[in-house]
Parts: sequence; C-alpha cells; structure tokens
Amino acid sequence: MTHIEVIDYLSEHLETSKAEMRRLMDQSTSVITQILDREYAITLPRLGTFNTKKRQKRRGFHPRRKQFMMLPQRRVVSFRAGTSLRNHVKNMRVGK
Amino acid sequence: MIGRMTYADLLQTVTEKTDASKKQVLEFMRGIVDAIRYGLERDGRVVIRGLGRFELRWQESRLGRHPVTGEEIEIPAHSHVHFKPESGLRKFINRKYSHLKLKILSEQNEDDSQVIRIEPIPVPEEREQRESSADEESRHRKRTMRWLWLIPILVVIIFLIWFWPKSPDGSPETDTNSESAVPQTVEKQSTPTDEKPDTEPFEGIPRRTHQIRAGDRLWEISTRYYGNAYLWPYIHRENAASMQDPDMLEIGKTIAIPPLARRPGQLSATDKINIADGYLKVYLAYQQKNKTMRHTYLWVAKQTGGEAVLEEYTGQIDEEDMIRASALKGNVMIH
Repeated sequence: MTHIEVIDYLSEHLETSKAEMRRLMDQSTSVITQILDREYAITLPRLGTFNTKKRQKRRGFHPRRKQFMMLPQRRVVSFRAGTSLRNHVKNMRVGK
Repeated sequence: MIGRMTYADLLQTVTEKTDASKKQVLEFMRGIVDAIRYGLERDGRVVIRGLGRFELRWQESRLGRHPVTGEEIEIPAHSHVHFKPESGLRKFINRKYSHLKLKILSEQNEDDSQVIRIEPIPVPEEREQRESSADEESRHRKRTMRWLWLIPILVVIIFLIWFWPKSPDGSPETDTNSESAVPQTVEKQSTPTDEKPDTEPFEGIPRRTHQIRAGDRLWEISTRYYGNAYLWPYIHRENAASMQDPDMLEIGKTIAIPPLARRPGQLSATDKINIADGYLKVYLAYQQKNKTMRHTYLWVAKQTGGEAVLEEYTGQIDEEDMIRASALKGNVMIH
C-alpha cells in the first residue's frame, strides 16, 4: 500500500477531501518526528510504540574493502507493534 | 528516551497545528491505524511518507525457552510487523551525530577513541603501502637534515643582534616578540630587557580595526599591532562592552585596536593609565572567573598606572589579592 493509497483510503472512509487528508497526514507525521527527535516515545492505540534508542559506536567490517572500521554512535527509531496489532497479523502470510 | 508522550498530547499538538477540530484529528489518527492494518492485510506492506515503511515478515517456528520456567518450548510460526524508518527521518534524528565519520581500523585493535574521516581512495595492497610510507619517512628525514645546519648560524645571528651595543635593529618590539609566553609568568620574571633606546622618530600607533579569525589570540593581536604582547588588556578594555570574557574571542567579529600616542618603549602617561585600567578590567573579569593568577594583573596595573588608578575600583578589589600583588617583584614590560 503506497502513501497515495493510504490517503485515498482515509478520504474514502472519513468522507473528506484528499487535500485535507494530505495536510493532516503531513502535520501528524511531522509532529511524530518532532516527538521522536526530543527523545520521547509515542504510542498509537491499536498500532504500537515509536521510540528512539541510542546505538553505541561499534566495530564493523566493510566487506568490499575488507577492512574493519569503527562505526560512530547514532540514534535509531524503533517500532514495537502493540498486542492488538501483533495478534492481528499473527496468522497473515502475504507474499511468502 | 526521556519520557513518553501520551496519545492525548499528540492529538492536541496536531489539532493546534491544523485547522481541523479535535474530533476530526482523532478520527484521522484512528483512520491511519486502520489503513495500516488494512494495508498489511492486503499487501503486507504500507508506506507512510515522513515516517517509513511497515512490513509483514514471516517467522518460521523455532525453539525457545520459557522466560520464567526455563523449559524448552516451541514458538509457533507467525508473522510480525517490521518497521523501517525513512532515510529522511533517520538523518533528522541523527543530525547531531552527522559530523561523525567512519574510521578505518587496522587488523589489530587500535585505539578507537577518535572517529576520523576516510580517504576516498581505495587502499592498495599492504606491502606497497608500507614501502611508500617508509620512503616518505626517509625523504622527510633528509629534508629536515638539510635544514639542520642552519640552526647554529641562526643562533649566532640571534646572539649578535641581542648583544650588539646600540644596534638600530634591536628595537623593543622584537624583544618582546621573542618572549611569547603566558602573561602571568612573564610579568613575574625580572627580565633585563627593560629599556632600549628607540632610534625611530616619535610616532604613535593609529586607531585600527581587526577582524577575528579562527586561532586569533589577543596576545598575538597585540604583538602584531603594537609589537608588545603585554598591551593586550588595552585592546580588551577598548572592546570591553562587546567582550565579556577576556579569554574568549568571537570569530568574525571586528574589534577596535585603540591608538597609542607614542610607540611602546616610550608610552605616554595617559596611555599608561589607560593600559593600567585595561589590566584592572581583566583583573575584575578574572575575579569573577575565579582565576588563580588574577593578582598579577592587579600588580601590573599598579606598577604601570600607579596607586591613583586603583582608587577608581576601591570597592571591587579583593584585599587578599592586593596583599598577594604587593608581594610580587620584578619589572613590568610596559614602558
């Protein structure tokens, strides 16, 4: 399902214009991004929790250069599906 | 993670940012969740621009352990949701680490305290590299050896200039230059270069401006414009309004270089008083920073400007500093 399909789905189900949905979509993703950027976690009911975690610098191997290198520290976004979503998808088997 | 944002907070923030009502936003957020659930069911993958991609992944059954009892159990095959954040989101979250780069490690574990840039050139075979670096090293050594014979000659020349009686080249500017060190320590030294007649005609130093570049120090700026590093508090005094901390310079800012009626070596009385005032200003700044060597500035101010200068600041001078300052001996390099 692409982004456009999501917008279409929303405007169909909520009976609002696509432009309005696109605006709301942009705003809500940017708000979620801001929340994550401030190192807060956010849980959407029936979906799951978005969070950020710190990754320490670590030694990695560059397979093409055949060299070990130090990968710098970074932050990653994590998503953990909630119980409802986990049970929902448990028995789905799409495309393998 | 610092904390958790509640769903209500999220709805509130989105409502404030758009003209939609609270109810509309709530319905919309529920709609997104529904869309994701529906999309996962239909295609097994949903893309939300600005966030990332939700994907179904199949997990074959495997053996695991019960977290409490420790007994071996079979985890049945199932699907789970995998979320891959968009590269824009990843970059945004990591923008404060964006200056960090990969660092190549040799086979042995080297110290990994610093992270540096990689050269974009693919590295040739190890043997070649070692040879080339050895070559370069020997070349470098030869280069330095070529210049070594100059050093004794230079030393002789410097000695000649230093001890030449009434040499016209030995102006006081060069004397102070060669003695670059921390001001505090030099002020305490009793150096014999206290006076040398300047043969140049009497001429002051005009007002100038200086734009601060990276690596600039007041000490060096003073040497450059006055030929005497010890006059740096005078520059600081002129710019005191825009320069709170005498130890900090703002790159790109233009500072004023105040004029002198006569060159250092024959400073006029008013200039001396102003310089002493500059030293007092630095003393007061260092008093606030609680610097240990602050009393030396008090001492220099007293030596150059006399007791009268100190009277202006009677309330602000610490008595203990005054006692420590009066115990100092030596010559001041401001004439």
